Amino acid sequence: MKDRNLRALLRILWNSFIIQVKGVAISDYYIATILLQPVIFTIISIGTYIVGKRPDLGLFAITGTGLISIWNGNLFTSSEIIRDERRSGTLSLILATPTPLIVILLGKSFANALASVVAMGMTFLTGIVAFQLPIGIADPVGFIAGLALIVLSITCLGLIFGSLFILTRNAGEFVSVANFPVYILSGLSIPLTILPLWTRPLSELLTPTWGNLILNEAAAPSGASMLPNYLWVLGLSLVYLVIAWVLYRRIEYLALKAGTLEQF
Amino acid sequence: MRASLRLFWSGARASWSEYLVELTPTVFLGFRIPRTILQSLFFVLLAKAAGGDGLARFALIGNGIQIAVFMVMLSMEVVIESEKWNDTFQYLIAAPARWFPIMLGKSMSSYGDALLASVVSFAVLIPLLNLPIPLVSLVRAIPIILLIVASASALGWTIGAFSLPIRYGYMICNWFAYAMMIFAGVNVPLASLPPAVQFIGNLLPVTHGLLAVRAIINGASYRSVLPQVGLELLVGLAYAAAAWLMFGHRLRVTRQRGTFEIT
Repeated sequence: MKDRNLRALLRILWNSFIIQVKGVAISDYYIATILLQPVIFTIISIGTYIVGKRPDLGLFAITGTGLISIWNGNLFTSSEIIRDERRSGTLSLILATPTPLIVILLGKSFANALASVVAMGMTFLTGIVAFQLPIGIADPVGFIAGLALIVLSITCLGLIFGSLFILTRNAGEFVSVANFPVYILSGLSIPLTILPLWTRPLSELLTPTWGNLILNEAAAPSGASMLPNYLWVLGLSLVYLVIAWVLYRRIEYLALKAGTLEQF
Repeated sequence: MRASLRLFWSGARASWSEYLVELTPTVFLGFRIPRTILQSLFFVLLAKAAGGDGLARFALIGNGIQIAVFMVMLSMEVVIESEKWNDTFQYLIAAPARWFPIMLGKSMSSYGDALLASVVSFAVLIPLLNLPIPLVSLVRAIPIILLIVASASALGWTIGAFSLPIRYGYMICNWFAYAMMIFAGVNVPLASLPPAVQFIGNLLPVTHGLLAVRAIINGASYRSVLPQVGLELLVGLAYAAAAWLMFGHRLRVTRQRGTFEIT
């Protein structure tokens, strides 16, 4: 019985993933976002570092911008998924099915996060083409493994927001606010050392902070051990999943109790 | 003239009503204002990390104005595009009234919103980052900031008018507004950019106005920045003319063919 449940769960995850991949593949808006945004942000970031006579931070700016694009894509699409289901009139139907909406959201969000990895490639390409930066990744295997883990972790973080988006029609507005604090607090393109010390605990709670450290270490090793950073990413992913699940159950309860999603 | 003023007033009232519906206090205080501050803060911190307080001050002036430019460009594109999505485009064609006063009126709340964004951005970030930008010199720059916002709005209108038959006007305008940060010398001095980027920047709104604003804030006289102000005005008028002609063309074509969609 349990085996059958697991197979059903995986099938749902897979189908959600595939349907989202198909949606992404024909979405001009999404494709333009993952292709154009990294280019613009990379040019601004590296350009600013070069003018500030800190070209040594070029690679740091590139990985940071790549993570910005991955986070942005994930957050943006988490809101889009819920909004599209709401506008299609299918959100209530999905919420009423025995399959938890969060499972569908997980499959779809992962598809988006995976697609947004293209953005990381775009940032490197921009650095090479526009600034002729000598970019080499010292540990490509470590970089790819780290990137895969971060994509998964960012998907888990996105699930928390995705659950909250069920309760609001202002998800678009929320997304426009929620991305910049993460860029700043996670030190994406900006060294954490310029932030006040009191922000450090907040930074530690965000998985892009640790992901950024992992990617930078893989790109240009300093000899520091990355094990604690990997453990942070894994631990935070689990915490995000638990928060998202508890939050989702509460929201599901509120929606079922109200008997409608129209009031949210 | 009176009819035009009435149309303008009618458009402005519609614009204000829509603004109040969309921006509830929760959305305004919880989302719009924080977004304004955080976007500018990110780019100013980037400049601080790259070049210390000097470059951070430079970026703060640029981003404090860019946030208004960003918002006004998007809003102006929406003013044009919303005629399509609200199914009111055909009324603009059919009505004997002139379209320009009403469209200008419909843009009014966006101007207010953009200027408010700029004020909030400066009011919060100058004390937060403790950067030396005297209030008096900032006040002296207000007329030029208004000119910049007006010329950027002309670019937003132009993009809206050109992209009316397609569905990606907002997206195009969004990326254009971000790209302005590169070409207009918002984060870094224009002179430090490659010649090709400078050439494009000189053809865009904001670039010349921003140079004038920086000079005024650094203590220059109005007379000394007149050439830059003149260029900003010229560029703004050129985009306004392009928007006027293109939107008029869209109306004419739609009247002739019965559709504005590209077939």
